[in-house]
Amino acid sequence: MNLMGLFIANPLAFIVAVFALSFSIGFVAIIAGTGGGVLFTSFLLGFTSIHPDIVRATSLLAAIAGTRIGAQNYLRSIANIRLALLLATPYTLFAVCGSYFGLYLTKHFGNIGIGALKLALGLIIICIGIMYIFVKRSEYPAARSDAITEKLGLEIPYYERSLNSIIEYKLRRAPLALLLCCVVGFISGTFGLGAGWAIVPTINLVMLAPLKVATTTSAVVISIGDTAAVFPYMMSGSIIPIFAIPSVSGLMSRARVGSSVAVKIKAKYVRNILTFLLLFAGIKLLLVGAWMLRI
Amino acid sequence: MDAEDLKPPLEGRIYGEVSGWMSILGIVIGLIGVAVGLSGNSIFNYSMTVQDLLRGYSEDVLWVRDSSIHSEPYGYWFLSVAANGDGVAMLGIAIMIYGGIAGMFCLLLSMLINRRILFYKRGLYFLLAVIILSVMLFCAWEAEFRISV
Repeated sequence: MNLMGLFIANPLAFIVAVFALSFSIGFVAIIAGTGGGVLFTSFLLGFTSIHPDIVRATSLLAAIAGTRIGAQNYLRSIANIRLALLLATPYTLFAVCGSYFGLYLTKHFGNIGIGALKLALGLIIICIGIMYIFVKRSEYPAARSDAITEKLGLEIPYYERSLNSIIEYKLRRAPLALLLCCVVGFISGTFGLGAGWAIVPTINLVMLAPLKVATTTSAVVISIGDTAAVFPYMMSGSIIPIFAIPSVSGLMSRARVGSSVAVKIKAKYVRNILTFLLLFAGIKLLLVGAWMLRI
Repeated sequence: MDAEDLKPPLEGRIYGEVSGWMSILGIVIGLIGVAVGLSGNSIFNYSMTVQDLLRGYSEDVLWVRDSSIHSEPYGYWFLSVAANGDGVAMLGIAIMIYGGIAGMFCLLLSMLINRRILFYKRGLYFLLAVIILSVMLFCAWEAEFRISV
C-alpha cells in the first residue's frame, strides 16, 4: 500500500503525518531563528498537490497561533506595543487586501492563477533564502532619532538580563518602515506567509531597534495583522479542520521543544540548512509555476 | 530608573494574555473536535476528504463532494453543527482567531481607563488600535455577510 492509500484507509495516520511534518518544519525554523510559515507554505505548495487556498489559510492560522503564544511572553518583557500598533496598522490593512487578491487569483483564473501564484511565491522564497545568506542582523545598533520618529514617542526601554542593565534605544525612519509594512502585509496575505523574515529586518535594520526588540515586536505585529487576514480564507471555506488542526498544533508545539534544543545546537548550521531548504523549495515552486503557465 | 520601574505597558500585557490564552483554548477545543470527528461524528467523510485533499481539489469541491451538507459553507456554519466533531474543531479555530479581536478590545478598554495612556501623543496609539479593531470587526462581519471574491 502506498502512502496515499494508507492515509485514505486510515485518516488518523494522515493526521499524525501532518502533525509530524509541521512539527519538523517548525522545529528547524525555530532553531534557525525564524517562524515556520515560510517553510510550511513553500514546502506544501512545492511538493504536494494540496490546493493553495487550503495551504495558505492553514499557514496563516499557524502564523497567528505561533506568534500569539510568543507575544504573550514577549509583551511581559521586551516587545514594544506602541511600535507594534504603529506597524500593525498598515500591515493589517494590506494583509486583508492581499488575502482577497490571493483568493481572487485562484478562484477566477483557475490553474493559470495558481501557476502565477506559485511562480511569484517561488521568486519570493528564493529572495528570502538569499536574504538569509547576505543580510546580517545587528544586536544593538546605535541610532539617533529623526524628527518624525521622535515625535511618535515609540521608545520603551527594557531591562536586559544578560547585561544586567537597562537598554534605552532610539528609533528612526518610521515612514519607510510603514511603507515596507504595506508591502510585507500584502505578500503575507496573498501567499499565506508569516512575515517575520521581513518585519524583523525592517525593525532591526531600517528602524535600528535592538535585535531582541525587533524579533519580539515582529511576533506581536504578525499576531495582530494576520488575525484580520485569515477571515477571507475562513469565509471561503478554506479551513478544513482535519488538515488545519494537526498543522497548527504541530507548528505551535515545536516552539517549546525547539527553543530548549536551540541553545545546544549551533544555530549557524541550522540556518544554512534552512537557507538550502528555502532555495530548494523556491526553485521547485518556480518550476511548478512555470509548468502550469506553460512558460 | 532601575529594573523594577520598567514594567512593560499594561495595554500590551493585556493584549498578550487575552489573545494568547484564547489561542491555546481554541487549539485544545480544536483537538477535541478532531478526536470526536475521528470517532465517526463528523460532517466530512475523512477518507474521501484526505483523498481529495491530496489530489489537489479546491475547498469548494471538498465541501460539495466530501461533506454531508454537500454545498459550500456559509459564514459561521459550525455554530449550527456544534455537537459534531468538525463543528467543535471549527469552533475551536474560530475561538483562536477571535482571540485577536478580544485582545484588541481589551487593549482599547485598558487605554480608556487610563487617561495618561489614552492621550499619549494626542491619542495616536488609541486611534491606531481603533483602526485595527475596526478592520478586524469588518472582516469578521463580512465572514457572515459575505462579499463575493
